Amino acid sequence: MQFRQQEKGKYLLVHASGRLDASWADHFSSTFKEYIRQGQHHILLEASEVSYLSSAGIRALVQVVKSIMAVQGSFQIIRASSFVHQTLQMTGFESWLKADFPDDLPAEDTEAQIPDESPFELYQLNGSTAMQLSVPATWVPWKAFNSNNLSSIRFGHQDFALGIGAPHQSDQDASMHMGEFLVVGGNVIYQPPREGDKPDFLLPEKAYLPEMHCLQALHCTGDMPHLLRFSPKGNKTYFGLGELAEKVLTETGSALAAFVIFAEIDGLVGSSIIQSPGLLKEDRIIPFPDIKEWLSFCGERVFPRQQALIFGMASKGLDGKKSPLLAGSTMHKNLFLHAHAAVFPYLPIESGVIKLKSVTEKLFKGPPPMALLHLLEDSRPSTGLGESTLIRGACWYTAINTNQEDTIWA
Amino acid sequence: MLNVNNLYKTFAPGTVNEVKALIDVSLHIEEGCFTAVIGTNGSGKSTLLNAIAGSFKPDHGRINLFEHNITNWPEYKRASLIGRVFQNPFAGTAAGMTISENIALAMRRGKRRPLTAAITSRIRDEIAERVKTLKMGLEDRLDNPIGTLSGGQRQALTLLMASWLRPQLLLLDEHTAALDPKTAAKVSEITKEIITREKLTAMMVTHSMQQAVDLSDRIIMMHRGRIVEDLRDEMKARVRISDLMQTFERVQKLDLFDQSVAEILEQQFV
Ligand SMILES: Nc1ncnc2c1ncn2[C@@H]1O[C@H](COP(=O)(O)OP(=O)(O)OP(=O)(O)O)[C@@H](O)[C@H]1O
Ligand SMILES: [Mg+2]
Repeated sequence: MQFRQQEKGKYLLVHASGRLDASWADHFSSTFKEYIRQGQHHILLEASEVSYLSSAGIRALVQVVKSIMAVQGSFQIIRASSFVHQTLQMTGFESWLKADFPDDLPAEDTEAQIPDESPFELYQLNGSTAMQLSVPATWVPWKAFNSNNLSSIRFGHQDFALGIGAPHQSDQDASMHMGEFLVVGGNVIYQPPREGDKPDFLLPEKAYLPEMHCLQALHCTGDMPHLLRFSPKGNKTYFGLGELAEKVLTETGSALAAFVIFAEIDGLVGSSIIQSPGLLKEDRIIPFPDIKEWLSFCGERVFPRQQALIFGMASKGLDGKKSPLLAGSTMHKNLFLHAHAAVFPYLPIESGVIKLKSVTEKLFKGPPPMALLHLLEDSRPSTGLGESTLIRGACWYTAINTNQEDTIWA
Repeated sequence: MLNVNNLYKTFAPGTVNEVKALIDVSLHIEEGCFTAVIGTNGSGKSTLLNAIAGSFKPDHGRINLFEHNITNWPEYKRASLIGRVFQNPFAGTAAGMTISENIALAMRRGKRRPLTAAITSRIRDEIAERVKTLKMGLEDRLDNPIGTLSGGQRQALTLLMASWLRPQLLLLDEHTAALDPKTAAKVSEITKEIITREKLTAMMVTHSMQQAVDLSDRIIMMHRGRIVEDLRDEMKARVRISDLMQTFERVQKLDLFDQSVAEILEQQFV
């Protein structure tokens, strides 16, 4: 089969030719899934030159239509050849067939027409204007563990957090299990501190609220009243985490902001705790190579084409002070960041306004998270991996109020 | 059962070719455990097995097999306790001798008796019976020179011979790697059968993750002279090939974690 595609307004018009049979079905569905990945959610299949359609071909079509419907898109087959037309009618899929192009289809290709079109869309959602931040647990590497410094937190639907801790388990010593976690709308994703272990997750359900024993926690409660959608346009093919964080700070005009990003990954850079800090008997500076037993490093830009759920806090800084909880960016001026990313298999989402809650609900119904990373910037000359970058997605954000400035800024 | 303590072996020390093949390797293997040893090329798998078998003396460390401290035993003396099968199907047998002669030799391993003692009919029956368990029809060819057999048949016989006297430890170094896939699968199956039936303690180096997952009770992964992963009991039970692949990747990435990465983490890990 051969495909030729034209962008026309919100539509992608695909001219297909050849036989859609078992030999071409996989190629067909992967081509169309790639269109969806690129943000084309309204597809017109011009099928006048599709000479044959087998049951395997119909299965491929069903798959494609399913993926499109999952992102609230649309799919129509235009000017089908008589064979295709007949086959679809007999198999009960005539609803896909349209005699002609939709009325709102622009005559011209729209592809290269709007060179200055912004890669960003901003939306205002409901909710209070700012969240309150608390820092109930303040461990920093590599302080001695003291169970008195643990703080137990129950996370509900309005909670967002990142930090180091362990799920509440009555029968086990939490100190052995201190690992990194993030919380988005009460959904907790936690990475046990053992290399190779899969992240675990705890979801608030009815009366059950996930509880974590936290050694370190940046915790805020409230709404994410703003939404930023980003997608590649023109030469702009990816978005750096720092760039998105800066945008969030600019848009809120706040000194401190929190954000959730749900996006297709270009490449993540980060590390994870692989040995519980609960084992630290005294304050330590852990030199190389011993540090390799405590932290893993990704080594390359990881998880391209997968999906990231990120929670982060960003700040412009305060009077040139350093922060024990926010890392000073080496690639962006006046930016301080702390972000954790959970990695999931790729999951496309609809364009435009979208509720964070509906995204997380869909996400946790699917396959489990594959990894959790503490994101870092690697600006080593020549060998550096750079910062984490994303391709397209959504960023919900809010300004942050806090009365714990003394804790955040040393 | 087998206790390896703080084993070190460096080849060509002090030269440009210096290789630290074993670095502080410690390992305890329980009686009856079938351990698979996997790892990248040159990670020290064969060196570990050779050290246990006594092919060379380690630079440092101690090896105990049952109550014996065998660290300073010569290779031939260890052979009375340890059976071995190598990758090359032609290594463990004498091509010119018949199947039964080869086996009769193996039966006398470690014993001080003339090499050419007669094969009594009682011994012959015993040989035929055991060879039959291979289900290769070789019991009808006991008087054929072993050199006339295929690689797979020879490897199956070598395995049978190496385990004949129920060695305290059976060492297999990629013993199916030189065989075609189908024969390799057959020999794997025979390996598992013999080890289970005779309740042998065994270590098997393999490049096949499938073999490691399917056959063994425990999986050890080596990298650059160290044991970097040790999966046993319930961890072994749940492990899949994809998990092992991930561990490989992770371990190889560890090589990229150098001083400069440590500096980044020191700055940025909060
Ligand atoms: N006799 C020797 N002299 C010098 N170097 C050696 C010797 N034997 C092994 N080495 C080196 O020691 C390292 C470990 O070798 P070893 O044979 O144990 O690896 P392996 O894990 O068995 O690899 P493979 O999967 O390729 O068989 C390698 O770098 C190898 O080149
Ligand atoms: Mg080897």
